[in-house]
Amino acid sequence: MEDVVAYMPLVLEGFWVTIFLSVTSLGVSVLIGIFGALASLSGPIFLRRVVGVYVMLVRGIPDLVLMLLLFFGGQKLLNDVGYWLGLWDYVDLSKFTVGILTIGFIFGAYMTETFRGGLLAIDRGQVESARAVGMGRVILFRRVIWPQLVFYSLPSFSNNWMVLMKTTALVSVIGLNDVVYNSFVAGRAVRDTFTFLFVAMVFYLILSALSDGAFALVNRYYCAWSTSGERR
Amino acid sequence: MSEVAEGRVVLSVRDVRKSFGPLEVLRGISLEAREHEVVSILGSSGSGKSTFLRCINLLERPTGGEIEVDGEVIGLRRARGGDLEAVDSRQLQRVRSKLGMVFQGFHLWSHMDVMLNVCEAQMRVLKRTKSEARERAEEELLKVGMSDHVKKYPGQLSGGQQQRVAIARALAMDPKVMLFDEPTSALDPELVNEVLKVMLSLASDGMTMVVVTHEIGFAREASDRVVFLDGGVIAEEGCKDILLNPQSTRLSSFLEMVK
Ligand SMILES: Nc1ncnc2c1ncn2[C@@H]1O[C@H](COP(=O)(O)OP(=O)(O)OP(=O)(O)O)[C@@H](O)[C@H]1O
Ligand SMILES: [Mg+2]
Repeated sequence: MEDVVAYMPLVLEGFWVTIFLSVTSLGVSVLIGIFGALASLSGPIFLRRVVGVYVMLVRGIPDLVLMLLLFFGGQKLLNDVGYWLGLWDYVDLSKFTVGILTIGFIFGAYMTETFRGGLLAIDRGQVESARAVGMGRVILFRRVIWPQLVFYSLPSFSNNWMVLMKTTALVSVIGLNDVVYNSFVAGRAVRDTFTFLFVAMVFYLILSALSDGAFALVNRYYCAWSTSGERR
Repeated sequence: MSEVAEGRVVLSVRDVRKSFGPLEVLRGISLEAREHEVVSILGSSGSGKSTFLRCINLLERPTGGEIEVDGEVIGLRRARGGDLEAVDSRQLQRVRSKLGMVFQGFHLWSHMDVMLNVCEAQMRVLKRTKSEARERAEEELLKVGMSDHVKKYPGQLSGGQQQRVAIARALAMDPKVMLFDEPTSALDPELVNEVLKVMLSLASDGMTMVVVTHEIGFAREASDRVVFLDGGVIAEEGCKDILLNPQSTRLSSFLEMVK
């Protein structure tokens, strides 16, 4: 028992790594998603194709394979490109950066689909009526498009977030000290893997419960208008 | 609604043309509306009525022509693709705020309640304060008989009620001209009259209106002038008597059809 307590700080450290990793890769994926959605809806043909291929690839390749590919190949690719172009010398990407970029890259594809769907769901007539009363681009976006985009994207967005959070566990295979990795290390050290993985599990459950609560609040704020105050 | 309108010209559209690719929808249409005048636009489906109306406030980019609202000519330049776009977006926004548009499909903002729908553009575009906007909104909502529904969302209203709110939303901007694009075509028959009644009372209050409609009854009752679009041009135009005594065969066969 004492051993378990002694190793708790290590597991706790893993918590923070997991949370940090989740939040930053969410940020990356949202940026990619917004850009991807806009590009695929109103970008030049070439860009639409690129986005299409990107989404197709990510959907078709297992996350783990992509992670390993980017981790072992990405670094080399980056340096080879730098060498050939003569633009940069050897760049050392930390495991952390690779982890964030990989997860951001994967979920950027899902976010692209999410925002694309959200934008497509917005009634074009309502955008026209806003232009017809003389609203400029900024007001139009802030007051008409954004609230509806959030409304239509939220279910899929929250789903993406839940999956993303769990996907961060994959970084333990490239040796990042997230909660799973650290629990495993701790578990092996005191020959009690079960206890530590159980702790990790409870951690994930708490995190998703908190997220559910947060999304419920956002949902209530943005969905007051749909007929019963609930989603239709 | 005098027989001969004498007011100042508040809307003047000159030689508007519009093509969608090879399809030439409008081939040079000119239209004037004087203060307090009601102009009805008739025409069969696909004759370009909506396109014409949308060109007036540049929801559609015309291929050619000139538009003047309340003495102000909209500055236009040729955009990529060959159609005309506004040079100055601020001018365009100002002009648009003087043109109240009512759509066939209402297009209220579904995430805003009735009150906010009517206040929003007043506050954001005309920069009125919240209390000014509310006061004005209450006035217009009373006019269209929607005062009891201010807290409801568009999804909780019937089509006729939504259309009346849409009319109030446009009126609250103090438009110089109201543009209606078949405001009753999407309504169940029993709801058409409540909207027509509002429009008739607007007309008799002296609002300047350009109305695209299939409601011959309304056109006959309210119009000072009737314009019949066909084949991308004005095939016939005159006072509302042309609805009883059409001069062209095209208008008479159209009237025969909608009868
Ligand atoms: N965005 C567009 N792209 C291509 N063609 C269009 C577009 N908008 C309208 N058209 C075409 O222009 C013509 C006129 O359309 P418009 O909607 O103005 O007709 P309308 O007189 O309003 O008809 P309705 O009575 O059915 O409303 C139609 O042939 C239509 O197919
Ligand atoms: Mg039409």
